[in-house]
Amino acid sequence: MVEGYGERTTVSDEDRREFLKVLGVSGSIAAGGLGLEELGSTASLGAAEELAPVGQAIRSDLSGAIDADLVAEQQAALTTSSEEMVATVERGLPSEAPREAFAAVADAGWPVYEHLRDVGFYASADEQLPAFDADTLGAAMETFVASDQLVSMVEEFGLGNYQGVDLLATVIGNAEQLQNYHWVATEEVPGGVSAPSDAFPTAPQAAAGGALLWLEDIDEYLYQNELILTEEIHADAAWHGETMAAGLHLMSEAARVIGEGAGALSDAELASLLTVSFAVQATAQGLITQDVYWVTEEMRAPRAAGDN
Amino acid sequence: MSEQNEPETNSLSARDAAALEGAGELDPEERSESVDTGAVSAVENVTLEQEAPGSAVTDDDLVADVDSAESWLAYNKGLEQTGYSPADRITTENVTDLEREYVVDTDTSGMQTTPIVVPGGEGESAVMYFTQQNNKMKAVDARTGDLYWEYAADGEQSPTVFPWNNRGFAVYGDLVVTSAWGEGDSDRLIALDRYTGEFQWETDLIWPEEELPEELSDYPPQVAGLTQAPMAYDGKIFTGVVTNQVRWGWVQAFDAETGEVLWRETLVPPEEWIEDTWAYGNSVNWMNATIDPVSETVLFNTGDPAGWYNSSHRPGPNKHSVSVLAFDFDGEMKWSKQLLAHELWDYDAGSISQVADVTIAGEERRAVMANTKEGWAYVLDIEDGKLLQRSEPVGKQEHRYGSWPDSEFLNMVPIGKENAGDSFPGTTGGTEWLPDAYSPRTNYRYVSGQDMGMTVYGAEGDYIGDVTWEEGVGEAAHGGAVGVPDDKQSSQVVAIDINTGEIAWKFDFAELEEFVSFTPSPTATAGGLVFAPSRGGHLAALDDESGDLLWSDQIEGQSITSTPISWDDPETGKQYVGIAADSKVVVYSLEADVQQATETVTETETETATEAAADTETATETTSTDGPGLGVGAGAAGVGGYAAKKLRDSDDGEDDDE
Repeated sequence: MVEGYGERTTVSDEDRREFLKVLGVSGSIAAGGLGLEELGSTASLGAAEELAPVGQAIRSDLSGAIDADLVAEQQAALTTSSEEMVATVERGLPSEAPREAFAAVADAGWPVYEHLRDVGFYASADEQLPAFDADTLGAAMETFVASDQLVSMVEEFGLGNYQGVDLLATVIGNAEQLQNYHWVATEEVPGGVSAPSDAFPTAPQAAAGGALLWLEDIDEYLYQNELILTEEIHADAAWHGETMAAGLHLMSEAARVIGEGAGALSDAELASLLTVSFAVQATAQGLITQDVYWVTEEMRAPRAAGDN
Repeated sequence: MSEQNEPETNSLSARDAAALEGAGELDPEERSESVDTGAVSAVENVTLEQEAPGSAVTDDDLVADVDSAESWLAYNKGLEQTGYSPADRITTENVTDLEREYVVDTDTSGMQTTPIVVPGGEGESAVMYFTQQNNKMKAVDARTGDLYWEYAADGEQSPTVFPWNNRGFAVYGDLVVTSAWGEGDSDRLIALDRYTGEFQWETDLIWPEEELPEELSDYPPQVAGLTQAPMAYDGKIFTGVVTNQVRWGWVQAFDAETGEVLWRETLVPPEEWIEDTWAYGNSVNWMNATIDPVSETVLFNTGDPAGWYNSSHRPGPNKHSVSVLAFDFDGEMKWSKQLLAHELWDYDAGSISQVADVTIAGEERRAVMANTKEGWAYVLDIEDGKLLQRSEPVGKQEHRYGSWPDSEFLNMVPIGKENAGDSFPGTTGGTEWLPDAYSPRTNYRYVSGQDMGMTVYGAEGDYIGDVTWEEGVGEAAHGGAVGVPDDKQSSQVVAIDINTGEIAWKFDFAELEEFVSFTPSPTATAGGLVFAPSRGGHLAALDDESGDLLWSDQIEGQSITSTPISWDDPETGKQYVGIAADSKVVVYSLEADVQQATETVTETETETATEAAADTETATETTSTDGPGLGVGAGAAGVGGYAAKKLRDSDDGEDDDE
């Protein structure tokens, strides 16, 4: 494994500072510093109270529609495959043939994605959730960090402590970009192009489906592009793959809570969970292009000298 | 792709329109009845001065073309599209003596065709075939330019079909095949008798709604045009198709004898896109296929996924946009290699690939060479598409956006017109559709490049807001361009050392003329030369090792947007260089001795290659390497070195199976 994979997320100290600022904490933390649990005591559970009606409406929309057992079953596969996917970094870039490590995560995710699409989960989320601006994301994040149950969902997935911080700090650090480039298409496509809006996915569906498409692609990408990739890029691929999987996991947790029908989470917590889950998946899609797929001259592995 | 930014190449000129006046209308029903029947429905449109000489072009001839000095049978030379002629009478020493031999004037303008040259028999001249922009096609004597026949196809240019640029013929058997304006929203593929110009068959290019597989049926194609020369081999004619700027693209193969569609494959697989985004995924194949007879592969390159500048509506990598796709001859995909995932700047893989045995990092490999418009040249393994080399940038790569991710290159376009940022390359690319050349003499690839920027922005779109597709740079743009940066802009030939991926030299056309944008398509020859044309009407000859300018000629009043060709005629003792300019085809020649500079291929390899070629399924008899046929004896070696080894391996395998 690349040295310090766990510390080698793509999160900058600036992103972490911004994240702390949202939580009302001054100072800074470096990679490997404070974990989510320590930060939880500084955050307010009620920060996203305005989102409570959103959570309530989504519960109402989807009452009785979600198969919680199916979701739970796939979640287990998702967690296992994600761990195995990360472990492949230790083996280096694939030379002889593509692996199926990232694709296995996608395989675990597709049944949940399709089930939730079929029951109107994304449509409801699209209709009820507010725009991904900095205020909404900040409020949702504070509630998320303040909620022991939500923090434990991240930890159960395997992103405890500082990795959990980095998962969430990434969203806050890219809030403006999410607002501008949130991988969303909706409503109408007027003027000169006969492209009906219903051909395009809603924002939540684009977040989940897009993450799965990237996961499905990465194995072949790493193999075919071995020549220009570095171990750092490989590690970034694993990190963004892992955060996509984490986003899918959190989205599945929300779906399961709705499906089980019990009041395990407050409406505000549910809305925060949904917001964070979609934001994590959308952000990872933006960053995987930047860190893994769009390989500039500065990023690429050195060009080997030919045998002239 | 940005061809709509080149209005002079896309619109029907007044001259073209005038030329069309009086052209007979072909009754649509009559034409439709002629599909697949082989019936001659439009013989009245032929002007026959004299029958063109020659005999049937076989698969063997097409295989041998890549190494033949005397032929130019496919758009960019050889099935492998190498852009390299083994002709070597014209050298770095004597190129200054190169002079015009003849000029063929046409009644069109804005030609983008690359002629093909098919050798005649013993004592006969070769025949040059070329297409025009006004639905006319010609066969002329390649030594004199004298007309054999002209075919004026019926029909009118459809306003809905993407700008129609006829880029040339394929030759197969006794036919030449190209595209013509069609009925309504579909151009058509037409086949003519190559000796007389008589119509033989035609087939509409559009994929009929009733023939679509279920997964594609909700979004039937609206239009179909062709901006490429067809490719012929294995009894088939291969083409891509250009739809409108947002709908999905496909590739197809036709029966060369009848025009019957043999297979079609979408380039935008619905299962690899979310919801119905695939239907607007475009990813069309703009330029013609490349065929590798050794691995029995046909390669298609694809354009960008629709919706430039703000791509939020199409999550994921957007398979198979900006890719090289490898199929077998029956339409089964072998592999795909996406060169730029989730593209949003109009940096498509709009040109054609070359296939050759190259030396790369000291190793001999059979490889595919391709570009994307962002300005890198790629070398891929023919077997599985794995990247073997990515060159230094051909031109300037810079995104002065201050957006996301705020790196020097490849980041999201700034949202909102007021935030527009400079983009190098712009939508015209660091490379474009015009083909490149690979020389086995130097192991350099000569890439058609340019530095041309654009100031661009992405359209605003809220989480629950509207997505707007703005007019101005094409209806596919989800955003737009507001200007051109002040930076120096230039057109270049860029020589890339395939062994290292490093740039060996660049030739900037500023040496010859005030900058006129667009990429100069190079052709290399065994005489140590690279011929390259310009939009300013120059044809330049460069030293293939140094890039030094050795000779040039300016064709007055002509802009050139095509590729030079070259061929040898042993009977005249001349090597010819031809180029289609705006409204003329200009041919140069030089009488000199053959230098025999080309690599001698061993007898064993020659025999092996010939045997292997004979093994391919052909509808016609094979031509012996030393027979009259196409006079391509010198090129009968066809495939040497690594390729010959692969053929031997292949033969061994087949023997084992038997």
